[in-house]
Amino acid sequence: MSGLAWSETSLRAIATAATVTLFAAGWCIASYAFGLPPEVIPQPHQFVAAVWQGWVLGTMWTHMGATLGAALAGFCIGCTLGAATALLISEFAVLRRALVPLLMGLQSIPLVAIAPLIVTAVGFGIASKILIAALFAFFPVLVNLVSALSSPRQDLLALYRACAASRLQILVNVRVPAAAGAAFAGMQIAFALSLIGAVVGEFVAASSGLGFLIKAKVGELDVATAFAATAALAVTGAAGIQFIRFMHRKVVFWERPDPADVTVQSAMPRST
Amino acid sequence: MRRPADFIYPAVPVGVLVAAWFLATHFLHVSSFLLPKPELVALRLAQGLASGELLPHILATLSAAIGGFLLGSGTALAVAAAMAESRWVDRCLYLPLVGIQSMPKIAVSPIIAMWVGFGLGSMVAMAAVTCFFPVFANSLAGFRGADKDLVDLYRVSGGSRLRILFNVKLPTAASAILSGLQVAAVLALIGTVVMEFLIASRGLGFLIMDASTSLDSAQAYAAILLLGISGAAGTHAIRAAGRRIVFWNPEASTGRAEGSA
Repeated sequence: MSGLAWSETSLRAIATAATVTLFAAGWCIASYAFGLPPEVIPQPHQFVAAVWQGWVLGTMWTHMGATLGAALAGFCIGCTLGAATALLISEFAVLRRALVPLLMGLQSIPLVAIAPLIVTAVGFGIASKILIAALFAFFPVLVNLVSALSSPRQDLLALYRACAASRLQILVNVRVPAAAGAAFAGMQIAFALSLIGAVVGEFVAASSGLGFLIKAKVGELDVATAFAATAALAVTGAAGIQFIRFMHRKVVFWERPDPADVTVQSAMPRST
Repeated sequence: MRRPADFIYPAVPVGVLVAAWFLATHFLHVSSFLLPKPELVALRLAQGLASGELLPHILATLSAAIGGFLLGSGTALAVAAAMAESRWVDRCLYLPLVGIQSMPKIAVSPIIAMWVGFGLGSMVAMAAVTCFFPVFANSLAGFRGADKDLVDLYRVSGGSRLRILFNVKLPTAASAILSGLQVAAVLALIGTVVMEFLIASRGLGFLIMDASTSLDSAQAYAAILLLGISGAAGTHAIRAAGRRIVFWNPEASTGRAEGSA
C-alpha cells in the first residue's frame, strides 16, 4: 500500500538470504579460522571445486544419469501400476473392502527392508534399482488415488445417475477429474520416494550412481565430492517436485494447489 | 461401528497371499532364495525368538528407532512452535527448511555415519533426520490453524504467550501433530534400517544385509516380518494414543502426512 512498508515477500527474501549467508559464513569461519578437518566438513572452496568438477566438467554425469534413469523408469512403472490398481480397487466394492485395510497396514511396514533381497535376486545392475524405485513409487499413487476416486462429488454423481450415464461415463467424466489433483499429490511423493529407492539400491550394491558415489567417496575421505553428489541429489529432487507441481497447475487448472504448501494431506477412506 | 465383516474382508487377501506363497514355493519352481518356504521362515522366526538369538538385534533396531523418533520429533515440535510464535523465526527458516525437505534425506546417511561414528549414535541420528520433516510440517500447519478469535480472547484476558501456546495452539494442532508422528514412526524405522545396511554389526537391517550376502533368505524374511510388525505396532500405538489424547476428534488419527524419507 504505502511505499514505506516492506512487503511480506521482500521481508521473507531478506530473512532467507540472511539465514543462508549466516550459514555460509559459519561454514567459512569454522573451516578456515578454526581449522575444522576437511575430512569431516570439506572447506567451502573444496566443495565448490567438487561441484565444478562433477557437475560442469562432467565427472559426475554418468552417476547422475544412472540414478536419474533408474528413478525415472521406476517412477513411471510404479505410477502406472499404482494408478491401474487404484482404478480397479475403486470400481469394485469387493476389492475395496478387501484391499483397503491391507494397504493401510502396508503403509506402516518399512519397505526399504527388502531392498537388499531385490538387489541380490535381480542383480547388481540398474534393473534392481528400477524395481526398488517402482515399488516405492507404487504405494503413494495408489493410496492417494483410491481415496480420491472413491469420494467424488455426490451431487454430480447423482446427476449422472439420473441421466442414466454408464459406469464408464461416470468414471471418465466424474471420478477421474475429481481424482486428478490427488494423483499429482501422490506423484510428488512418489518421485521423492523413487529417488530414495534408487539411492538405497545403490547403497546396497552398485558400480555407478550417486548413492554409490556418496558411499564410495565417504569411504575414501573425499567428503567434498560426497557433498557435491548429495547436493546433486537435492537439486534433482527439488527440480522433479517443482516440475510435477508445474504440471499439476497446468493439467488440473481448475484446482489451485497452495504454492507454499509443505504438507500433502490425504486421508485413507474409512473401510466403508 | 466395526462389524465382523470388516475383519473378514481384509483377512481373505492375507489368507490368499499366504496360500499362494505356500503353493508357489512347493509346486512351482520359484527360486528358494527369492521366496523361501513360508514354514521355513516361521520356523526360523520361532527358533530365533525362543533361543534369544534375535533379541539383541530387535533391541538394537527398536532402541535406535525410538531414540531417533523422540529426538527428531521433539526438535521438529520445538522448531515449529518457535516458527508459529515468532514471525522472524518463520521468515528466516521457512524457505531453507522447505528447500531441505525436497532432498532425499536418506542420501546423507554415509556422511552422518562418518560424522557420528560406527555405533548406535549414527542410527539414532539418521532416524531423527528422517523423522523431523513430517512432524515439523504437520505441527507448523496445525499451530497456524489455531482459531484467531480464541487467541484474541486469550490475549484480551491477559493470557501469556506460553499459555496461548499450550491452551490454544497445541490442542488445535494435536490431531495434525499426531498424524505427523504416525508417519514419523515408520520413517524412524526406515532411517535406522538404511543406516544399519551401511555400517551396523547388529540390528534387523544388519540381519537382512547379512542374509542377502550369505543367501540365507529365511533369516532375511524373518527380519523383514519383525520390522513389519514393529512398524505396524508403532503406528497403532500412536493411533491409539491419538484417540485418547484428541478424544474430541475421532477422525484425527487416520490422517496421513507426506512420507518421504
